[in-house]
Amino acid sequence: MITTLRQLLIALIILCTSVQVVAQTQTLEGFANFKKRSLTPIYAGNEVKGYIMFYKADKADKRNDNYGLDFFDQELRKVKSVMLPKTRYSYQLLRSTFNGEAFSFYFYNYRAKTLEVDVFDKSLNKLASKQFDKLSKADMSIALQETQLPSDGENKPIGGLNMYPVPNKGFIRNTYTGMMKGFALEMYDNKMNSKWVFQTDKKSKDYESVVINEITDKHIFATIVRKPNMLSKQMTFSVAAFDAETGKKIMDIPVEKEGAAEQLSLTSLNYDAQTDELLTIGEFYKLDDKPFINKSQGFYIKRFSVDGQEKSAKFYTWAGDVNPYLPAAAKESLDKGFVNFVHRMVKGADGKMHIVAEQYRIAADGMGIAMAVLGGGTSTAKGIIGNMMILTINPDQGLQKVTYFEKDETNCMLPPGSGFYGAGLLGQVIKMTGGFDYQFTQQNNDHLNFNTAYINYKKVKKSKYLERTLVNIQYTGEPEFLTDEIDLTADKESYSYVYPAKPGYVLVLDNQHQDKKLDLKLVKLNR
Amino acid sequence: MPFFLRALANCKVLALALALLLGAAASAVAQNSEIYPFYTSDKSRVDSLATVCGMSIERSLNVPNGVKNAYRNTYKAIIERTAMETYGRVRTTALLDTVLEPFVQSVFQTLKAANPSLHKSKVILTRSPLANAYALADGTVFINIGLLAKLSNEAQLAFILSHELAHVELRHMQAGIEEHLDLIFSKEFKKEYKKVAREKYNRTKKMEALLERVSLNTLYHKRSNEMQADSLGFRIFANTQYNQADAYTALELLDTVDEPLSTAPLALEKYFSCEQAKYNFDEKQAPSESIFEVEKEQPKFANSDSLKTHPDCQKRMAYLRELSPGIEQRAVNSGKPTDSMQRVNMVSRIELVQSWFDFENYDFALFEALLLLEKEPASIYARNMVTLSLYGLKRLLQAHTFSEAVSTSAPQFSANINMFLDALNNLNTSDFKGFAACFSQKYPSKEPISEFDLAASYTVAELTGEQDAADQARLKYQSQYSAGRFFNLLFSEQPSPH
Repeated sequence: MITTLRQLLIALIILCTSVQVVAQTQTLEGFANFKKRSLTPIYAGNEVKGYIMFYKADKADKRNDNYGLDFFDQELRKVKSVMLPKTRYSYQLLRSTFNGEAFSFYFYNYRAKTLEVDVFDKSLNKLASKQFDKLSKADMSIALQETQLPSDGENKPIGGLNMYPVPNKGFIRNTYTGMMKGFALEMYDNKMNSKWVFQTDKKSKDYESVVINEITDKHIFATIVRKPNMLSKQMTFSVAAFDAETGKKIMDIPVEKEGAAEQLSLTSLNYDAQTDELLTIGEFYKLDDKPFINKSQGFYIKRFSVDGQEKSAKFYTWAGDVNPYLPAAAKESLDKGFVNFVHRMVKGADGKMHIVAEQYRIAADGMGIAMAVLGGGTSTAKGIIGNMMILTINPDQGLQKVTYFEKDETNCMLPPGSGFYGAGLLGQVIKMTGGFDYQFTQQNNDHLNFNTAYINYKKVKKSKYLERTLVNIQYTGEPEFLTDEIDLTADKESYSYVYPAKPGYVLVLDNQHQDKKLDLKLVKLNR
Repeated sequence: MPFFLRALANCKVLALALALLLGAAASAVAQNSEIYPFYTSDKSRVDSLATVCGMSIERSLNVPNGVKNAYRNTYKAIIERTAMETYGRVRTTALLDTVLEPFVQSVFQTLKAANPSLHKSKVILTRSPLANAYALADGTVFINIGLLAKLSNEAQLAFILSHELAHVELRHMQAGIEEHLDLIFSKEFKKEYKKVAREKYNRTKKMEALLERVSLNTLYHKRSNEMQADSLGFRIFANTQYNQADAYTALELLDTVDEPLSTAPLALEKYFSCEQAKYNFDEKQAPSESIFEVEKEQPKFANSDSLKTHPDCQKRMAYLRELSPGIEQRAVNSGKPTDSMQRVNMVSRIELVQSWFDFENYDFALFEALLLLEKEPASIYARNMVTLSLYGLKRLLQAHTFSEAVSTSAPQFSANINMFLDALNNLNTSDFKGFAACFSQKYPSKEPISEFDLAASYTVAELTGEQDAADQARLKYQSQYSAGRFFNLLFSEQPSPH
């Protein structure tokens, strides 16, 4: 990352007399092979408080490379560089998190097949390191998969191996036990001393997996997915709570009532501090359909008390409740077979809920079919990504409106064998492989505002480059959403990525790969 | 100094004082005539000055004999780049106005007349808002408008110019380049560099340490050069009739020169909030604090005042006390603002606002325009620049270049600048309508007379959404000022990228 010596020497001698602006920009030089996941935002609550750039620097010694972590604050000012010597050609950063007191960096060593965590305090001095050996085959397989998947730049836990921050207390990591038969949760303090371990019952007849959705002072709220065997597509969803001090499971209730007339999936689980309730959102299916596999009938919102009592349930059908709110263009798209993928549910301080969804459908891929006929291992199906929409729910749970954001259709590749998946599951596959145009949603800590970002790709005649427009949809408490468009059209020398940023901003990173240069800038949104 | 030269110098000082007093008198007579920054669409004078300066740099820097090719090529690259930058700097920033430039020239001529043995030199006043002055190898001394706006009297300007002339006399730029290249191309350094370049392990860290040593060496020389220039500069200055104690007051002033002309917080609500569009600046979100508790990494050679434009002033003042015992006491009653300098300050402040604006630093243009308005509430120019700066800021937001062009608060800024920058960074595009409406209500414009009036009336109409009024003002501006200074800002599709 050093410019040539001669350039540097000349720069040292020449008088610097230009006007200095303390701008919210950064230029980083010497970065080859930049991947979007190399830069991750750091959150405190919902808000971005900085960024971490992870990169391989030079050789540390005979066996080790220096891996660099560059820290930037929320205004893109460089805070510090930390070098971590680690075994050569072996490490990938899986997760970086901040719990208000400490940063954790969760690495996968794919040669030694170990997981490692390094914890730093706010002064960026190392507090602790810990290595996890003897990984289950499932953990190894998931870790490897994660290193190969693109990141959406949001740095929020989804599936896979996570290191969850417990506010000011430590971190929780999840592992897969057996051949994904069960899971374990392990809590550590900031010095990586073990606090508790929760493990699923080995005698359980179901296969169980977990995603932690919210962590408060007292509780850890999570979604548990169960299925009868590893290959089964029949999934049931439960809302679970664990005691944050002891790790004891204190609640585990299925999201659908016994004897219900429909099956439910669970997309989002949020803790509502205002009402001390849990808010769940998901889709519902016919009884003989399979959640996430078949097309859903609509979506639902349920509220639970923290001791597991269902307080309310409201169902919204696509055909009867949502469609009347859709503009003609949206109805047309539904006729084409598009279904909705719910990216995020946002609850505002005004009691309104906003469900951010994007349309997609599966189509036969002519090129894929031709390749398959010729013996290539490619998918014969492709995903087609359609429009964005936000469904707004009133505090009384009535559907207030559906705001539709028309965009150009894009195609996305699907893994081989995808044609055998159902439409619902393919949405998850598209999400994991970064095929959606949706980028991220960011909400202020006061829950008054949020913004959702997506990229509209448009083919330009006689150009091999797509016109790329970053569209930001902003909710400011006013009746209408605001949109702000930023042109990101790339040329052959550069390619732009977008990341969440401090409230009212987005981060645009321009990768000028020929010059091995990264230009980062915070862009203030118009509102 | 020969008597006749001293007499001549005295005459020049007298003539200058007389001219400025007359200027002040003229200004006092024409109280209603507004002062506007200098502008000419004819760039030929500046162009030819830039060409002369660029060529003069090339002639003044010569590669030493008997050096190796790499040394020669690096030296040539430095010459080329310095010449190119000097050409560009003069072309874009030289201020050849009718008030300030003659004033600076006459003080400079006074110094030269009092020191006839000095090498050939010239002074160029620039529009740069940075409070700084510097000299190049060919004898060109640059003084920025940002510094001129803050000086209290001619004597302080004379000392600062003397200091820069001393750099020229002492061939500091040439010596600096040669010392630097001697070090870089020395056998020892090359050996060390090659060794680090061949290092297998931790090469980056070792290379950074090596380059830091080079920087340290450069800085050490720069700082010792300042002491030398003060020493000789004081002798040059002492040959004139200026009060010697003002050398000391000049250094005192430089020590705090980064502070704005007023450190009181700007009462933004007074200007931009009104009954019809209330805006509470205090209620707005304060910038969120950093989660990091890391002390800013400072280079090893940096000291506490490294962020200042003029570090080490206290040390330099101590040195001056050694050179001229008792100067501190004599300085107590010196450094008083003179009437003539006050007019220079006022014109400089107007040029300073315009300079920030022309560099598209609408944040500091607005800040300085509001400070000017605080001091001169009747200033039509200041009012116009407030609305023009608001318009520039809104355009930056619309073009998504706001955070590239508008500063955030930073340790090197004073508290009132930081408060102002925090307020700006909280603004939304929709806030500008209310701001412009309130400001124009409090400072209603009269029938537009000047180019500035017309441009400002257009921006107010645009900001408040009065499309008919905006169209009228636009047509009028375009017909009257087709080569006007605001043409691009007001009527281009997008602001220029930063």
